[in-house]
Amino acid sequence: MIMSSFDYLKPSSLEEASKLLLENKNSRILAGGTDLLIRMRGGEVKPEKVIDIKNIAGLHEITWEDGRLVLGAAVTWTRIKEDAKIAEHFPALTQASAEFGCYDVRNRATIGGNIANAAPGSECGSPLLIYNADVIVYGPSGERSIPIDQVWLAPGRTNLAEGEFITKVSIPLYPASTKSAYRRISRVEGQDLATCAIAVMISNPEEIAAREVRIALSAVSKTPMRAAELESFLSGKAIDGETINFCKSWMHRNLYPRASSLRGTPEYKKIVLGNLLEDILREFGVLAGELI
Amino acid sequence: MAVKIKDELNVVGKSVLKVDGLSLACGKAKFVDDYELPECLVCKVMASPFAHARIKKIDKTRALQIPGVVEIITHEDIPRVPHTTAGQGYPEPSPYDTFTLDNKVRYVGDRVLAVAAETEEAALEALRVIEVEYEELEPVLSARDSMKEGAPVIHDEPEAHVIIPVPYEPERNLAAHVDFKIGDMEKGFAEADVVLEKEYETQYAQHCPMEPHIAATWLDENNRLVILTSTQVPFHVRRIVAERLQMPIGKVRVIKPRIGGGFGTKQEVLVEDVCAFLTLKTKRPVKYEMTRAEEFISSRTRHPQILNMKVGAKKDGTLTAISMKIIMNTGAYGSHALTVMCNSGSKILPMYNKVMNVDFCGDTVYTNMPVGGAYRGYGATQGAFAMEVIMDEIARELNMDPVEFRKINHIRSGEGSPVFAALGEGKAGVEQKIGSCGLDRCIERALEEFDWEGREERRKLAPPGKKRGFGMCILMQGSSIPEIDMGAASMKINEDGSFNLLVGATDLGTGSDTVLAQVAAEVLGISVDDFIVYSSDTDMTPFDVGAYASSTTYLSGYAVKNCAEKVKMQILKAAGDMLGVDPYDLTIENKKVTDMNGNSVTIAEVARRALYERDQHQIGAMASHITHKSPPPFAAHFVEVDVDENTGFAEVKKYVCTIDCGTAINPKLAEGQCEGAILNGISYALTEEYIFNKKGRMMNADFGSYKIFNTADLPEMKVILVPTYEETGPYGAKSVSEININGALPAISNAIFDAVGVRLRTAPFTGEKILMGMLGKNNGDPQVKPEEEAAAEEVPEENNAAEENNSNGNGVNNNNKNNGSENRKDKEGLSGEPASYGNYPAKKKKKR
Repeated sequence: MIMSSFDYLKPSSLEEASKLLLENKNSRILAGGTDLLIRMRGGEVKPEKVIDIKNIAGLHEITWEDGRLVLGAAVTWTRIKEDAKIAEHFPALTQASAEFGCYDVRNRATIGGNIANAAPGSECGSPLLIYNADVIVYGPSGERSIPIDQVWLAPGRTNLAEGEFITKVSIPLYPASTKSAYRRISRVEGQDLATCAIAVMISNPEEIAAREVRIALSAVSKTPMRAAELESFLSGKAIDGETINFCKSWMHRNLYPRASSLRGTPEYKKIVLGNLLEDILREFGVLAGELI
Repeated sequence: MAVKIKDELNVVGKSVLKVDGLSLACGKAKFVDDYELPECLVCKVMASPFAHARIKKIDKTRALQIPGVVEIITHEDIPRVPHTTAGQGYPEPSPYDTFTLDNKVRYVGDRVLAVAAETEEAALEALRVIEVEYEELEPVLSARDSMKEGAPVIHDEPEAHVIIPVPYEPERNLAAHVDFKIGDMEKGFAEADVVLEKEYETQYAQHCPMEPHIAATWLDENNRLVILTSTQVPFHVRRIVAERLQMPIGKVRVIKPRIGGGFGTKQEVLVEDVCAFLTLKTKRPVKYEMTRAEEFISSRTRHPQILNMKVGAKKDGTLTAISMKIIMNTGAYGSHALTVMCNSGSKILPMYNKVMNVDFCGDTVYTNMPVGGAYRGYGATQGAFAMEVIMDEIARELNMDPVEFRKINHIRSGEGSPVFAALGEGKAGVEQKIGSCGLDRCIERALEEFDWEGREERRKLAPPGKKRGFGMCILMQGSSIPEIDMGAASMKINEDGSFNLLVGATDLGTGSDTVLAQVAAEVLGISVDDFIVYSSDTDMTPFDVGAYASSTTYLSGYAVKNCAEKVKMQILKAAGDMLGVDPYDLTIENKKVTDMNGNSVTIAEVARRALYERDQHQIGAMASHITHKSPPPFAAHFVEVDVDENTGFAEVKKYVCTIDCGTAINPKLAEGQCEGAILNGISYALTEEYIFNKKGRMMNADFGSYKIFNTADLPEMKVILVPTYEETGPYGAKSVSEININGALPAISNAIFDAVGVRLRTAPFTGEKILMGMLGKNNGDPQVKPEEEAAAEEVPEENNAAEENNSNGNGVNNNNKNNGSENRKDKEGLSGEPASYGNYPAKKKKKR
């Protein structure tokens, strides 16, 4: 039961929604509600106004335009999971959608909400980071685009200004030869937040010199993060057992997961991420020779 | 009159539909919260923030000014009556160490006070503003710490006592103790070719019933107290609440409506007393429903145990000696403190009855931690883990197939065990010889179904990155508590030939209303649809101890059978009068009574005649039953596990369970019980655990962070009923509800070892523990983080309380113990020789 009382508002335009957000300091955007309603029930947040954006035209659409995939903020995870074209171009996102919550949560929860929630282990985090997605927000000064790696500041905190809210996510398409994947672990299959997760993208896998590797990690820092140092280490280079061992020791030296996590110790997360990275690279067929 | 034994059964052994199935499926069945009570107040209870503290002062003034707050009760407002919350046979074997409200709190989550208000908001606001002044005391946050000399005394109040003659020394935090010795241990170990001594540890877990504890109380028009409650034990609730309120039992009525599961946690009186006190104070209905967090923190749990096992065996596989030493943590109160610990021996040791040298020693100790209680398996879960893993270890030592090794040693029909008599429930046990035992056939059937022989071939089929392993175990439990528990039923006929069947037995989702109706229908030659089953209401239904100890089908089922036999005789007599024949020459079948010439009258005609026409009387009866045996059901569990080499995760791929529960009265429901228990067991083995901070606060008291398996985690599971006929049970039935929760811990541990060579002796078997074990690290020990990294990351999804946790789960529970394969013999008080007193560290003698 939600103990605090609130007004439910359902604007039908971006302008109206932004105006309502600005006018009401203690208000929250409602999309799928799978995070917000739980927190309201738990009394953690007590908004006076809840602004439902699902009535705004365009926020439910999945479109392919100008070499980009554009997802409306209110697109549910079930739709992402079931979209064959997304699976073809952005397998890491599809793999993440399959791990996301459970059936009923996926039917409600949205991509925009998952970004706005800014969880360190959010399912969208690592995939959107490797694909260099842009988050489109709308606010008092109109529309602007924020690169995904600048959206999250800290757990639960985003870079959005007052009166702004997420309307779309725009992701550039990559050549067909590009490979990408997402792996995560959790304590049970049924429904659990990620203990930790990794997404990897590799372009030009066949031409070593032209290779670009991107790696993103979730639930090991305040926000999902790119492992830039690892990326430049791996890019343009033949990958063998020694390289992998370097990556694993890099994880140990450079990651500082929160030690108070109930889902796994820092040491465990670091070992698993190293193993998963190796697993993905082997699956991509870019791992040369036997490992030591 | 001799009861004719039927060759063919018409209702028993058939999977008839649950009598309450349709109403449950349609959402029409009424649970406690579905009853609208006029003018009902909401009760909320304040939980102690400290593990151990004395309450110095409580200031209610501000709270009482909140609009809607009607009543606040503290320890100063109600009588101080020592009691136990455990709903067990009377006199209870659990210590009287609990007070509805006390001036001391003994664990985080202990009751401080209770509020009744017009609304939930007002009640919660009251809890927020009430000022409580505490004097913090040093807490005891592990079983071993509790046993140390000079440890803080948790029950220092003079009233704590036991009401039966059993060891109880609260001044040493000792809540219960049992030991016995059979044969000559020294000789036994000397005869062995191999002796292994290992230590095992099981963790806290919660029952997680869908419906939490909930009760509503009110005064009826005659000022009697009515308690509508989600309980497994309505008659124990009546007795215990009457005692606490110092009211005559006759002034209390307890009603059990539909129940959303219990698994043992509702064998406790945890909400009814506060509600009742508030009703007496306010003269208004009061409802108290625990939140999920309260269920985890403030209700009951599975008692964690440390089990030290020492087993000797000869090269030919003959066992020569078994020593079992248990330290059990009962938390702040001694609910089921003695009996759960006893069951860890009495439901486990008799399995290997060929051993003539057996030593058992159990100490249950108080700590300032969540309280243990009855939980499906009831000690056998913990005991089976230790026993069935060490049997695997010793079979491997001997280079024997674990199945062959067990075949040499397990108990068989016609055999007894000295343990049956040595270990009872608060008094000496009852000697018994095993009647029905289908264990041989269970093992054979499982070998076949699982294809144990073909396992090496299947091992090669493991997907890349995974290692496949196979494990097994054998199990036994009991059926009711002999010469302690009693069940009863009453029945009356209606003029259309339908019957009211009133049972004190408590259907809490188990299907017992259906099973009991099947037994009665079989006797009377009618169908389940002819019964209106009612359970339970202490004003209406005859006494029954309730749903626990795997007793309902076996014990209450027999009471129903006895009752139906009596009714049958009355029907035959009336029908004999109608047909002009001797009742002995009549048969009752297909809703009618027929004589040798084929003349018949319907049961409805008999009923109409008896109620309206001639020789009028109510055809009906009441009967009860008590048993002198607790015949064990037997089971064999075989499991196939894939371990992920990248993450350490163990995934159960296949689970085969063969079970001898005697006659399955309703095979579908019996299989359902097995499947539920197995999933419950797998979840406990692989993921469930309480994580505490340094101050004894549970950090994962919600389903987001305490994970239980659901249908998405279900492995391929095959349950096979292996029928036997238990002569002392109704139509040959034994129990089925608990036994199958006990197999997952040992069978999965054995399979993981088979897969990757990591021997897990501390549950749960998380991916982390397994991976660390594979890497040869000090597995399972969470690393203590450097201070500067402490605040590096926060996760908003977790409840706020989690953020206080700087202890890295490295608090007081057993989730951080070494589970590597080295032998840890040198633990304090756990080395080969028994300590001076039970499992306590050796020290100067104290008078007992």
